[in-house]
Parts: sequence; structure tokens; C-alpha cells
Amino acid sequence: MNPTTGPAIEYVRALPWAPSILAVGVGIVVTASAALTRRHPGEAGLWGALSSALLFLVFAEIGQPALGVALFAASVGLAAAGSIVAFAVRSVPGAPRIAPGNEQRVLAIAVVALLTGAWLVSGLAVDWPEWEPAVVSALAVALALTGLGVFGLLTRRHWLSLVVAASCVASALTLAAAALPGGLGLGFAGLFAAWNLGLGAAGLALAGVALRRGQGPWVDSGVRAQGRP
Amino acid sequence: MGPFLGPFAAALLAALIAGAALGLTRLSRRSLEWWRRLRAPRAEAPAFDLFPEDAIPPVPHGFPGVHAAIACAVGAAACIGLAALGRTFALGAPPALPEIGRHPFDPATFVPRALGVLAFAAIAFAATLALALVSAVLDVALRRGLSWAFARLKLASSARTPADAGLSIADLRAGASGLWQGGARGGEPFGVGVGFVALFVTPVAAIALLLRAAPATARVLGTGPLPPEALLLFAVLFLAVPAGYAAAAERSQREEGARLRRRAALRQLVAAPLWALALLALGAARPGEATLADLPAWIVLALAVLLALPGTTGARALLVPPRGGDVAEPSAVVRAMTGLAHHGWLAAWAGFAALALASRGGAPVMGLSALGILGALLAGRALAFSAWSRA
Repeated sequence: MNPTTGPAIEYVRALPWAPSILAVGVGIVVTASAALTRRHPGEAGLWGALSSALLFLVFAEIGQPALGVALFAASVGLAAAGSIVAFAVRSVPGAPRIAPGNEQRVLAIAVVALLTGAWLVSGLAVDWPEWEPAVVSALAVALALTGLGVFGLLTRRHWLSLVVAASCVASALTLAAAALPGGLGLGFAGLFAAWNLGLGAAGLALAGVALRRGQGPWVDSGVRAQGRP
Repeated sequence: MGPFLGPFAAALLAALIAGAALGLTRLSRRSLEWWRRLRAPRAEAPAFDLFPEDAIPPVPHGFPGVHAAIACAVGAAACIGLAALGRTFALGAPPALPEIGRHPFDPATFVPRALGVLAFAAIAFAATLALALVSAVLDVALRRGLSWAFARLKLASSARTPADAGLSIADLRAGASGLWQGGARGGEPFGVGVGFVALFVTPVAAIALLLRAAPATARVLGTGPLPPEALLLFAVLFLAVPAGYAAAAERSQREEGARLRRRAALRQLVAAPLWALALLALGAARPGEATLADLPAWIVLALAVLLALPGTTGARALLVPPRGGDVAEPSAVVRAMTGLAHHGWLAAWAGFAALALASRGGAPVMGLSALGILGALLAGRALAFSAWSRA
């Protein structure tokens, strides 16, 4: 017996894909990656908003444009508010203008790979060839976006960056819930969309409090330079 | 995603052009030096010093502070989300999955479809530039007319009612010339350019949406109907205006530029819940169904939109509507882009109102309605500024 990847590749290629959703999904993942790697929250927010704009196209394709509009609005609102919060760093003498960067990337890649593998193995229990192309493709985009968001949650150090990563995960969960056939997850999709906005607002408010008090990894160096504890 | 490809292509084309322009600016050391040598050296244009650093008032502490800005942004986003989700959950039974065709990857249809989308994007881009110029010319004409009328009535001197619209031919020429010669860099970081590109893209995408939504233009373009949720995208794009300003402020290295941009973002965020609530009250996407009971919501919407338009102000009070683009910016490129964004959004909102109020009247009625609404908005603003300057 010769172990080979041929049957698996054939199986994946034979799945009912929607090429338009997959093409937009690549754009979503690329722009979300750009958002998660920016160290300026203003730019990160704008890249995140562009990613949400592309995500709207996927929602329109699966017949749920209203959910896409809600996520896009939340992303743009959080981008504006995040930049205003980041501006407050200027009031901390000596603090750097850029947020702390990524760390523990290898560990995060390992964790994301483990989670993705577990989801894919459990996904084999589903008879995917019988499903609609839009559902399969949207779920694939959601899986990629979830992995990216979890990677961001594991590597980012500052709350402003964590808000972007959490928004990425919440958007992916909303898409996955909305894509389920028969409207099974539509209620959950609405809740995930509301959770996205609420969690983002809470995270930004807490980040604002931390910056005002001079606490957290972003402003620590500035505070230490001023001789404060 | 078929109906939305055009607006997105328009937005991406505008981003590409604006990004290329700003990229050329940033790469000034590698730009067309040979062309510069061919031309006679000209004296550097004097700095536009309308608001020197000392004259820019600081942002007041307390209100609207960071948390108030978060509340305003999230409130506006929640209003738009509520309007959208209300539609989803009011439907009852879940909608069936739409049929997904093989386009745009079918080789037989890819090229014509791609060319059609690109042509629509170019039309939307050109329409934005044209409508912004029309709005600016109308603004100047109205202000000069009001100044003349006030002078005749001895209510105010013409010197106290400035006639510039924040978008001048001189700025457009200087901006284009600066981009071509690579001399308008201004020492701004990349993130500031991203913020202004985002700001410039928003009216292009909004006007592309209106072109797709209006029955008359949709007939001419030969496109299908747009889902009602699409007009909610118009509101999201307007919410992106403060996001662009806030990002530019956060990345700005010039202290006075940072403060002006942050003040503009705060002003726009304070106004955001007002126009979002007004849109929520109006139903946001009910073309041709306006009633007299909607009048208060329309008035609130007009006032909030005038406050939230792109543009910085040097006034001591925060909540002062901008007269045009970022007139205090030293870079002609930024002045031209923000001026185009300001007047492009004015024209887009006039078109949005005309679509809601007169979409059943055909193209001429809708066009005249949009022009009338634009004129009313500009005249109201000019009268308000005139009254303010006399006070």
C-alpha cells in the first residue's frame, strides 16, 4: 500500500465550490492579514474595514447582504474609534507612537494548525458533496478567517490590536452561522454580529482607560522613562 | 455579488488612482527628474498659513473625549446595523440561496463582464469628479450671490463672507502639477496617505451605488435592480469619513496637522449618531416612499450631514461645519483630494435625497431634484455662515 495525497486532493477538487466566493475569500484573508500585522491601529482599522467590505460581497452571495452591512458598519465604527484611542498615546510623555508588535509567532502557528486540523478532521463527518456550493465556499472562507483571527489573538500584545483580531474571529463566526443551510444559524449570526460590535466597543473603552492611566505594554517604556512606577 | 461588483470596482479604481498618485509623491526622489529639468525652475508656492499652530485651539478635555468618541462611533454603527438586521429578521422564513452562476470565471463571459465592470468604475470615478466640481462652482456662485445681496441690503460687507469653496482650480492644478513633478511630498508618513486615500474613495463608491440604485441610470447602464440593503452601504461609507481622518491624525507627524485632523474626526463622530438615527427613522432605503411626517428627520439629517462632511475647520468651537476641504493643509494634493471628497459627498447626499424623494419621476425630475437639494444645502450653509459672521 502506497500512502498518497491523491484521493484527498481529488476529493477536495470535486467538492461543490463557488469560485467567486473563493476569490473574494482570498482577498478577505489577505487584507485581514495586512490589518493584523500593522502596528498603527489607524492603518489596521482601515485594512480591517476593507476586509469587511469584501466580506460583504460574500454575504451578498449567500443571500444575507444585511448581515454583511452590519459587520461592515461595525468594522468602520471600530476603526474610527480605535484611531481616536490610539491618538491618546500622544498624551503619555515618552511613549512610542506604535503599538507593541507580534510575539510567540511559532507557538501561535502551532496552536492554529492544531485547531484547524481538529476542525478539518471533524468536518470529514459531513457529506460535503451534497451541500450547496455557496455554503461550502463560505464555510471555507470562515475557517480561514477564524484561523487568522485566532493567530492574531495569540500573537498581539495590546488591546487595540486584540480588538482587530477579535473582530476578525467574530466576523468569521457570523459568516459560518449565516451560511448554514435552511437558516439554521441565522439567529446566532445576528448575535455574533452584535457581539462583534459590543466586544469591540468594550475593548476600545478598556484600552482608553489603560492608556489614560499609563498602564499596559504600549506606554510602559514611556512611563518608566518618566520615573513613574 | 453581481450588483455590487461595479461599486466595488469603482472604489478600488479610485483607490488605485489615488494610491498611485500618493505613491508617486512619496517616491519623489525617483520621480520624473528629467521632466523637472526641462521646465524652468519656479519659485515654491507660499505656504498656506491660514491657521498657524498657535491659533489652532486644543481639543477640549472631557467632552468629546475618547470614550464619547467610542460611544458615538459605536452608536452610529449600531443604528446602521439595526436598520440592516431589522430587514433580515423581519423576513420570517430564511431566504433561499441565490443561484451562483459560473461567471466571472467562465472564459466566454469573463472578458466582457470585466470590461463592463471597469467601464462602470471609470464612469463612477468621472461622475464623482464632475459632480464635485459642479458642487464647488454652485457653492462659489451662491456665496458670491449672497455677498452681493447682503451688500445691497447693507447687512454685511462682502469681505466677511468668503467666496472660496475649499476646492479651487489653483489647488487642483497645483496638486496635479505637484504629483507629476513629485514635489508635493510634505514629509507625511505612509499611513496618512492611506487615510486620505480611504477618504477620497468613499464618495466615489457612494456615487457608484447611487448610479446603480437610480432606476434611470440603471436602465441606461443596462444593469439589474439593486437589493434594498445596498443603500445602507451608503451610510457605512459616510461613517468611513471620520475613520480616514482619525487614521490620518494618528499617523501624522506634524502636531498642528494631527490636531486639525483629530478635531475633524471628532466633529464627524459627534454628528454620526444624529444622521444615523435620522436614516433609521427614515427607513434608510425606501426610494419613492417619503411622506410629510418624515420632514423632521430630513432636517436633522441635513444638519448632521453638513456637520459631518470631510474638511477641517480652524474655528474655536468644535461643532462648526466645514466650508470645504482641508484648506489649512500645506500640501496642494491633500487640499485638492479633501476638497473633492467634501463636494463629492455633498453631491452624493443630494443624489441620495433625490433618489428617496423623486425616484419615480424619471431621470430629468430626479436630476433637477438633486440639483435643487444641493442648492438648498449650500444656500442654507452660506446663510448660516453669513449670519454667524455678523453675530
